[in-house]
This record gives sequence, structure tokens and C-alpha cells, in this order.
Amino acid sequence: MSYPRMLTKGFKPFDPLWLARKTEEIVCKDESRKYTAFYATGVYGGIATGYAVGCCFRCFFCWSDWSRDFPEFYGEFYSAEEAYRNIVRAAKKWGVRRARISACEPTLCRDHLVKLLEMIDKDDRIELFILETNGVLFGVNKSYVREISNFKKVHVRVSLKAGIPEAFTARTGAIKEAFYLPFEAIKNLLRYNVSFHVAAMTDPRLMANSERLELIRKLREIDEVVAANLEEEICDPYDTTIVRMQVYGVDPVKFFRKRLIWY
Amino acid sequence: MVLKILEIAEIEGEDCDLHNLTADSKLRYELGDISKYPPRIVVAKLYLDRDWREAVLEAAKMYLKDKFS
Repeated sequence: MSYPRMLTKGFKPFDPLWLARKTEEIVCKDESRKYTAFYATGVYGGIATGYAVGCCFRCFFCWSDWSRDFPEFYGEFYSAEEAYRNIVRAAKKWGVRRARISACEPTLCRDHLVKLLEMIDKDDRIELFILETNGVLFGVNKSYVREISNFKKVHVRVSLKAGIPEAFTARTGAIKEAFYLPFEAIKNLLRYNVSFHVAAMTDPRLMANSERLELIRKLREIDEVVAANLEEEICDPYDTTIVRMQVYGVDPVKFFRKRLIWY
Repeated sequence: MVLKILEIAEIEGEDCDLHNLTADSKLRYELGDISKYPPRIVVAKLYLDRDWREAVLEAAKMYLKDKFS
């Protein structure tokens, strides 16, 4: 199977664990990882961000830049220490004490992430590290979650894409057998007492209410607090989102003109 | 109190800090330093706190019952 870029009509679903390995071959080198930028943004009350490269999903509504689809062409390798220094520099410049890696799947390149978190954990200038993940690697690997649980500044945000396996494949490109992995990640995070919450792309233009209720039912089965604390996301018309939708056969103009009525 | 945080989180759960989203000084006082985080992070951290865990679970049940029953 060739390396998947953007989803097209009639695409062949891929195993996200396979894609994680293939992407790591491109974006990880020893304990270094590819990044395209370091800056701070206003989300989470102001947060320093390492904009890293590489994901194991291919969501057609994704806002990340083209480095997701063509990781070979974008970014430079940074060691964990270099990434740490750049993140702290961005935090200092913008007067914020929170940090994250974004625009990618941060759990790729495990050695890099763990070394980075070791340095963040010891640095008083950073009070909180948000780890935004699709949950695939945390779902398949308990030891990874146990290792993350050692870092007290980490708060994980697991981002769910679907409430049923068929919709999971249609939105992410991943095989439906992988649908359960993010839910396994949630169980692992609970098991190891990691601070976390769950987000879900329940935008009504993407997800029917019946599917949304099924997703919430699944979360309630796992843990009622996790279900009650669900963050519901909406899809925004970023440049890359518009192109990905068009390529997939979803008319972005019609999509974003639909009235957004929450359930 | 936790129920109130869950309701605040519906409006703005991630990007603004809890202490900027409520004028309830009692809530801010009782939560202490943790209120400097966004509401969803506050709920997650309270759930890990042995002293708060039962209250968080109770509030979550009430919240879900109200929303989805």
C-alpha cells in the first residue's frame, strides 16, 4: 500500500498503526522529531506550541497544514532538548506558562515526547502541558500511558472522530477495526490516573444526532464523569480543510453554508 | 459546585480559565489555585482528587440525567 495523503472517494482504508510506523520513519530520527514552527496562540488561555509533523489519521475535515499529507517536504528535525528550549522561549516571549505540541499526532516518536516531557516537568516556567491525541497509540499500548502518568504537568485531550465504526472509517480513512482504540485509550488513562478529558467532532454538519448519542452512550459506559466533561467540537473552514473536503467529494461551500444548529 | 463548572464548560470549556468565567467568589475560593485552569481541565483534576472525587461523580450523574434522560 502506498503512503496515504488525502482521502479521496473510494479510498482504501489503512491500518492507523501501520501508518503510525510509516510516518515515524519520516518524522522521527533517533530522539529527534520534525517541527515546522514554534509560537504561542490564544487557546487554553494562552499556550506555547510546537507545531510538529506527522499523523496516523487522514480526516477530511482536518485543519493541519500540508505537512500532515506530505511530511517528507515539511519541517526540520529538532532534538527533544531543542524542542523544549524553543517551546520555553515561545512561552517566555508571549508571557504564558502552558505548552503543547499541536497540528500532528504528538504520541508518534515516543522517545522524543518522553524526553521532552521530562524537561518540561522539571521547568517551573511551564505549569501545564496539553497532550492532544487521537488515542490510537495510547489505546494499543498501556505501558505508554503508564509512562505518561509519571508527568504531573500533563493533561491529555483525547479527540474522538466518530461514534460508530463505519463513520470512523469514512472520516479518518482508518480501518473500522481501529475504531475502538481511542476508547481503549480512555480506559487506560483512567486506569493510570492521568488528568484528561475527551473531545469529539460532533459538529452536526458532520455527525447525525443518533451517532452523537451513541458516542455519548459509549463514554457513559466507560465513565460518567468522562461523558459529562465531553468537549464538543465544530469544524472550521481553514484553507487546508476546504481543499481536503473538495478532494474527498464534499462541497465545502455547501458544507459551511449550512446553518449550524446544535442538538 | 461541580455541576456549575460543567454548565460553565458548556459555554467555554477549554480556552478561557474558570476564574475568568465566573463571578462566584465562593466557587473560586473553594477551588483555590486550580481555578486558574479552563473548566474541563478543572473537572478532570478534581476527579483525580480523593476529596472531590465523589462530588464530581455525583455532579456528572446529575448533569447527564438532566441532559440525556
